[in-house]
Order: sequence, then structure tokens, then C-alpha cells
Amino acid sequence: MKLTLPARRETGECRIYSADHSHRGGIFPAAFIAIVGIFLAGSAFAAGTDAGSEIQNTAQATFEVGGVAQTPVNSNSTQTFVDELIDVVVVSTDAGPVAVSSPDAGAVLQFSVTNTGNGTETFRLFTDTAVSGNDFSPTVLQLYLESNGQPGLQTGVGGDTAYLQTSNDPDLLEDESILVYVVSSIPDLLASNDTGALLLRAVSTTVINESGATAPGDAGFPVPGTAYVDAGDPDAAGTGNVTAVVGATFDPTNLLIQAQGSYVVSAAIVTITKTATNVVDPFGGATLVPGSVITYALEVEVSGSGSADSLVVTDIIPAELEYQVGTIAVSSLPAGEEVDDDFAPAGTDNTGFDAGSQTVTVSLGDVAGGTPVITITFDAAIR
Amino acid sequence: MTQPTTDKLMRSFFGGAGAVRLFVLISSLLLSAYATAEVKLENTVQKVETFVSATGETQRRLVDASSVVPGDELRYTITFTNDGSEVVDAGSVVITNPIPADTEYLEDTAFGAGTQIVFSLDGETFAAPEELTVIEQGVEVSAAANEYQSIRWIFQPELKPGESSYVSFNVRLK
Repeated sequence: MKLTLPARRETGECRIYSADHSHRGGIFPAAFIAIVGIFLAGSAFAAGTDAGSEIQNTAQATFEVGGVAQTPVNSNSTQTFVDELIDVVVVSTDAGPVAVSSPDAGAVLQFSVTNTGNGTETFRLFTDTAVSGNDFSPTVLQLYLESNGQPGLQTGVGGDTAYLQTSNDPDLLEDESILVYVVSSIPDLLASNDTGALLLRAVSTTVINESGATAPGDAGFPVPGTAYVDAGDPDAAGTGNVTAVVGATFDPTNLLIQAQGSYVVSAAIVTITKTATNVVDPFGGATLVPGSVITYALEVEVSGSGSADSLVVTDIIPAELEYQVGTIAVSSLPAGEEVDDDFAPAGTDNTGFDAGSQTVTVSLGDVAGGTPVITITFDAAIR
Repeated sequence: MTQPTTDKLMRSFFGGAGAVRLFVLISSLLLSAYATAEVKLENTVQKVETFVSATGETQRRLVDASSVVPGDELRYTITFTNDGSEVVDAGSVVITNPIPADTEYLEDTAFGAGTQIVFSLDGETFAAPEELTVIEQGVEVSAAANEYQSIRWIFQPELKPGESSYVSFNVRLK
């Protein structure tokens, strides 16, 4: 049985319990939130028949004269080219307001941008931090386009692509989506629960080039039905370009071309990073085969100005792995907790391995923001 | 001979109505050498546009299908004309129109004065809507109009030379 050695973050298996503060750990998987409801009412598909397609109709007639069947007759063939509908839907894909510290140098909002039209379009991205109701304005530092196949934002070498307006505006086919990360800095001296929102807007470059406008308030910004002759995709016969028609997502009373994401100042934030730090196979090498022992490390970090109280970290061992008895190690445990597999003395030692639920449980007590990273390690063998 | 005698002779030779019959037979034989049986079909497409009238009512009208996008409703009209000199038999003009690719037929929009209209799910067998069924999860249910693959109109009257009529149907562009 083969297992893939995870490179960095591993999602889905760690659990955090905290009695007090609402907080948001970095492992909450925001990447797979189901995007429902973006399909426009009344259409079977989001995109529809490809722009430039040719719709042909021909009829045939048979008839008789004096009881004798005559040669069947065909009508002319009508030819209709399908125009391009320009539509885009932007949605915030965070589970809720994103918790940040004050100040915070790199707070991330995540959005998805989907081409719901029927032709290929390039979209330019804009942010707007002047949102009414804001307690503070985030400062947008950089946008990134998801490109390295790993959920979440990774910067640097092998990470996601930094977005440079007009230089790498994403090109999307009909129904294609892209994830966009907006990294902002949060000002200092804010109060807990202060919120700051921003808008991400995607505008098709056809619209920008034809209208000269980039925002709904600008003169010339189109409304649904605005048509740009010859500005659409090529027609199927190769005779020219079809008309590009602006679709319902541009409706000023229900603008789907932009979406809002928000930051909320939170007292304590817990982040856990899980990595596999070592592999030893039965032959003394580092291959992944039944019998190989993998060492896992969970790095627990509490940031922010408050404290994560009664913090308990759990990790469920999957069926393919077997927890190696007595291998739990924690860099720093509160008094009363013991680094062993059992939960004894009951009520005091809440750190151990529960064979029934196959869960490693580590109780860290109250951890203040800014505490040095706590590392939990344990071994598991491939069955 | 006098005229009346000629008539008597003609009548006695051919019989009373027979004279007329023979002439008609000869003339029709002559004409059939030049008779033509021809039906012409002309096919046009328009877009159905919804608009709000001056009185605030929502109404529909037919406009040019020069700019269509997915979701638009199209109307196809097939006009058939007897361009020949022979009468086309009653009930013999059958017009078949496969639903164009990338469109779906809109229920109850097929029209044709004096025609019997049937539909097909496979392009081979045609029947009335009530008789068109599909199997869904093991249960036989009525086929939906948007599953029709073809429409057929059977024109009941005869079509005299020079006469024309038309049939039409609406689809929605997918």
C-alpha cells in the first residue's frame, strides 16, 4: 500500500477544542466550499452553447400526386450564430469573517472567480476597501492566483502566482473558475471585533476595452443587454467575430461581478501545521511500505492579543496507519499533564492515545498569544 | 350536311355525353405530358423578444434573429408552396423538421393550420405527445417536450397549384 508523504500542511484530521475564545485555525479547509446557486435562474447550464456556434435548421417534405409518391424536398438551411454572453460570478469562499490580529502583516481573504458566460474571457481584478460599515480599512498588499495545486495560499518559490494587473489577468474558459487570494495588512490599535471588509471585482477585458469603464459607477459601464458588435469570440464559419452581449451578472441591483470578504479583529488565533518529519522503513531506508514508521509533528501556534483557553489538540490516526505506543512527545505541557499514552490519573492527565477512537489527544491548557510554538510529535507505522 | 345532321351523326357515333368525354380524355392526355408536381419549402428563423408595452404589459414580438444568446427563444417558420401544376393529394404533404442541435423544443409551440402534429424522441417513430414515454428509474413516464428530437406535420387538405401554407415551432437556445 502506498502513501504519499505530505510536503507541508495536512488538512482534515486535526481538531481543536477551545472553551472560550472564538478563533480560527489555519487548517480549516476553505478550499472545498461547495459553490451553489451561481447558476443563473432559468438556464440549464451556467455557460450555455458556446459563443460562435452555428445553429442550423433544415426541414424536409414528402408528398404525393395522384397517389404517386414524389421526390422528397429539402428546405433551405437557416444559419444562426450564437453570440457571446459575458458573465462572471465572484464569491467569497471564506467560511466567515477572517480572524486577524491588530496589527497584522498578512491577513488573507479567499475568493473564487467563475466565468459563467459562454465564451472565453480575460478578467481584470480590482479591489475596493471603501466599504460602508467598516470599522477600519484593510490595506491591500498583494493578490495571488491559485496555481500550485495546494489548497490555501503559499507564497515564494513553488507557491501561488502573484497577480499583476494587466500583466497576468486570468483567462477563463466558459465555466472555468480560479481562486484568488487577497493579502492585506491590518492597522494597529484596533479593538476586538472591529471589522474591515473589502470588495473583489472581476471585469472582462472586452468590457474594459469597449466601454473604457472599470467600475459600476463609471460612465459607460455596461448593464445587462449592452452589446459590443464584433467583440465576441470567432464564429464557427470563420467569417468574423460574433457580438459580445453583457449578461445578467452585471445587473446593478444584483451585481454578481464583485463580492465582499471581511476581516474581524480577534483576540486569539490558533494555527496548527502538521508535517511528516521522518520515515524509517523496515530495511533502514526511507521508502513508504507496510511497516515503515512515519514521525509526525504538529506545530501549535497561538497568536493575537488574547489567549486560547482550555486548548485541546486531537489528531485521528487513519485506518492505514498504526499509532506506535509510547511515542507521543510534547515540547511544553502544563502541570498535571503527562507525556504517556494513558489518561491517568483521571481528570488530571488529559493527554494520551485513545485506542477506541484512534485519536492522539494533547491538552495544552490556557495558551496566551505569542507563546513560543509548541511541538507535538508521535510515530505511526503503515499497516 | 346541315348542322343538326352533323350533331346527330356525332351523337350517334360517340353517344351523347361520350363526345365530351372523349375530348376531355384527349385533352388530359395532352396536358399530362407537361404537368409538373413540385412543392417548395422555405425555412426562416426569428427571435421572440419580450418587451414591456406602453401600457405596462409584458408582450412578445418576433424580431430578426441576428443576435442570439443562450436562453433566447427562436421561432422557425416553414412555408410550403405548390409550385407545380398538379394538385398535391390531400393528406400527403408531410413536413419533418429535426429540432436543431443546441436547442430544445418548447412545449405547445408547434403550429400548422389543417395539420396533424406528431413528435419523435428518436427521429424514427412519431406519435402524439401522450404516447411518447421514457423510462426513468424503472418507471415509464411521459417524455418532456424538451426531449423531442423531431416534429412532423401532416397536412390534411390537398394543396392546389399556387397554394401555400406554413407550419412553425419555437425552441429555446441552450
